[in-house]
Amino acid sequence: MTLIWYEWKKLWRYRSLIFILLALLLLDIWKIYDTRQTSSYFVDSPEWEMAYWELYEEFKGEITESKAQSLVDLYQPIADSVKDLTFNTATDKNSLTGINRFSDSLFLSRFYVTPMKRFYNYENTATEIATKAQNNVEFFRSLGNTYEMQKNARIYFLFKERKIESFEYFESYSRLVDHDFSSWLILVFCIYGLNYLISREKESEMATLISTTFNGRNRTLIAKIVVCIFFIIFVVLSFSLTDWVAFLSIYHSTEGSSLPIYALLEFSESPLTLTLWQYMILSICSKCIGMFSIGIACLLIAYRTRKSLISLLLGLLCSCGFLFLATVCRLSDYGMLKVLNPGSWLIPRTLFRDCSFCNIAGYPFLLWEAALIVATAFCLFFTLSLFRRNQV
Amino acid sequence: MTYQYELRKIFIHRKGILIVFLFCLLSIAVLSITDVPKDRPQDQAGEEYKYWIDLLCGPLDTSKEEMIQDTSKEISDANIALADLRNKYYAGEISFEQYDNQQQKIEAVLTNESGFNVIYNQYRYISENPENRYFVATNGWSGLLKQDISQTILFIVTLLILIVPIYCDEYSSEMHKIALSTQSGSYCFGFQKSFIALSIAVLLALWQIALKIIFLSFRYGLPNAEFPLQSLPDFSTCTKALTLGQATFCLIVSKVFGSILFAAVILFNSVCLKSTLLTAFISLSVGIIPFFALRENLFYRLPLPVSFMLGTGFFQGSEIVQNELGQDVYIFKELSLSTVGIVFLHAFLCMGIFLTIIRYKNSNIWNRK
Repeated sequence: MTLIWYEWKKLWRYRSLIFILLALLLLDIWKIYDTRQTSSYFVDSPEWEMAYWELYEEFKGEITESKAQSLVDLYQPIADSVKDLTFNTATDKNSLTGINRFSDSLFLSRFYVTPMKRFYNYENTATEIATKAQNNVEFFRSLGNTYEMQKNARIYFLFKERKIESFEYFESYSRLVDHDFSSWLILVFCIYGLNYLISREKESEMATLISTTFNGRNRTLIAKIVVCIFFIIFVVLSFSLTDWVAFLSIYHSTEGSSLPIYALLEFSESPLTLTLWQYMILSICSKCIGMFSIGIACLLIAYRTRKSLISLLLGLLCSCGFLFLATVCRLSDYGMLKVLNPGSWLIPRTLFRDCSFCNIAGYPFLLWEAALIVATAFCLFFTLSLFRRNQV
Repeated sequence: MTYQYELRKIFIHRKGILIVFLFCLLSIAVLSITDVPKDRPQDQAGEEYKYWIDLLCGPLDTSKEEMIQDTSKEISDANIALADLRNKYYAGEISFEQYDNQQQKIEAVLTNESGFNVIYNQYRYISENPENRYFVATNGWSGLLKQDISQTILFIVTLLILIVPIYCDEYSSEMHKIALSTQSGSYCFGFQKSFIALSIAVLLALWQIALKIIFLSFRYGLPNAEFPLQSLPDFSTCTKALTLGQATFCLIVSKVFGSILFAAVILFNSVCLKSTLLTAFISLSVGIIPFFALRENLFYRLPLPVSFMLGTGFFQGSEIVQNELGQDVYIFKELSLSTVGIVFLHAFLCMGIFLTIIRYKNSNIWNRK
């Protein structure tokens, strides 16, 4: 215990770590702000934003028949008047958005009609999927194909009672889920910090001395690994929480946290049935897992190389390679590429986005379950090789 | 004499030779892996395209225009005739001998068709603005002038491995105190080491560019360096009157300057921070993170080493898209000559300050007032 505490204190004695952490956090916040400036839904016109929030009070909350009807009443005449593209293009102050009727129709269709329709219809879509899966279960039972049968049974249970009950503003969350930049920063910073755990002692030849003492072998190593876990959790938490707070404050809204994750278009086929705030917590855990499996590999690299410079650069190159591969393979159909790559934990939507299965020993595993098995094996392997390496 | 010591320390004692060798191999590998022809049909048309470009090479004039129009008509007529002929043959109206005879005649016209399609697209691009757009084989030049981040990352990492230990090793073993107290210590520490570091950077940068030029001239050819830059579709909106050769020269200058700047940043960091890990990390961040964090528009307006090393943005034209409300949005705004000058000047000043501080910090400590 004292050893752990000692290692932890030693790590933070390098003041530069704190400054760099702060600098990277600032960079992250700036990047979020920049994304908002360049690609927010409302970036093209502030009028849209004002109009959005004016209408929002009326339509937010539970989706009811009356709300849907009043939205249709509002939208239909405008949509009809611009359908034949003969509307007046001059600025019209009386229109909803204060620009012109075309802008009105575009605005309404994009921000209210389309998402609300999607939310409203989601229940049907999900039920359809569940029914099809149920039929498939019967079908595959008659064929005697247990794997497909189990797979469809799982799909049935995942999709059977899905429903999006309320309509809320969700742009901030959909952007937050898409925000990958902080993963790169977490990766870079963690690798840097972890190198300090080991390299300094090797550089000053202290490592040889330490390993001759009673506490200096496995106990110190255990302490270092524990500190590595704590350090990673600390870094991931600080980046993820900063992201979360920054997104909610930069987009001026805390709405949307109680929507289910499948309300986002990208996640409409996700196997998860969490709400958005629960998903954010899950993604923090996921980043910790990914970072730990990469971090432990980098610890091994740091143990194996003599020069701290080489171990830092090698660690950074390998881990950035993993993350780069994960980014490239994010949309590919090969589930195995995502499962085998510990980097995909750092971009959680890779694993949680679609409901595909991996066949492991004849049982259907969801992508993230299979990836969890792989990541555990990965960590165990590297931890064991660290201990083997540590024998004198 | 001390130069020899220093060089031996870098290249033999720290196995720098091996790293340089690896760098050379890797840059060849990266070059051949990441090489994708910008205009794929042009590459595929190969010999057929070469036939046409040899014929038309240079500015567009009326005779060339007429020729292109005529050929276009001929080819489309020939295609119709061929289809007609086939229909007749399948319908049994003509015998095989007749069919074969006429088909050979028609196909003689169609021999260079796929090359002509590429040339025709190029003709359409050129006829938008015939003054500064010439017929030229574009693939080589586009490859040379494109933004090449993978090569730059490789370069940055190699430079870090070679240059960081030059000062940091001395600091970590506290050797600098002894070395500085010797008679030529200040000269050796303050001037020689940085001179060697900067020349390594320049040599590696030149090697990388030379390699690229050789590779591209074998792969696609780099003909007609005196033609205007706007002949390449990537630079169509550029307002600077540069030829392809001048643009390449500017790119080389910018790249060499960028690598000197980056080497100066590494040296400055190591002199100020005195720790290997910290120096490496901060230099790497300064080198690479801006590329991923900043938008192109801002990226080329800051005196960053990596923007000089990439260099393409300094002569790229503005890129404008329209949003749904019909307003113009700049994705990239062209840098005017004066802006480029100011950015260079700032970078130059920074570099001067860095080198002065390095020199000052390494003056002979016993003689310092």
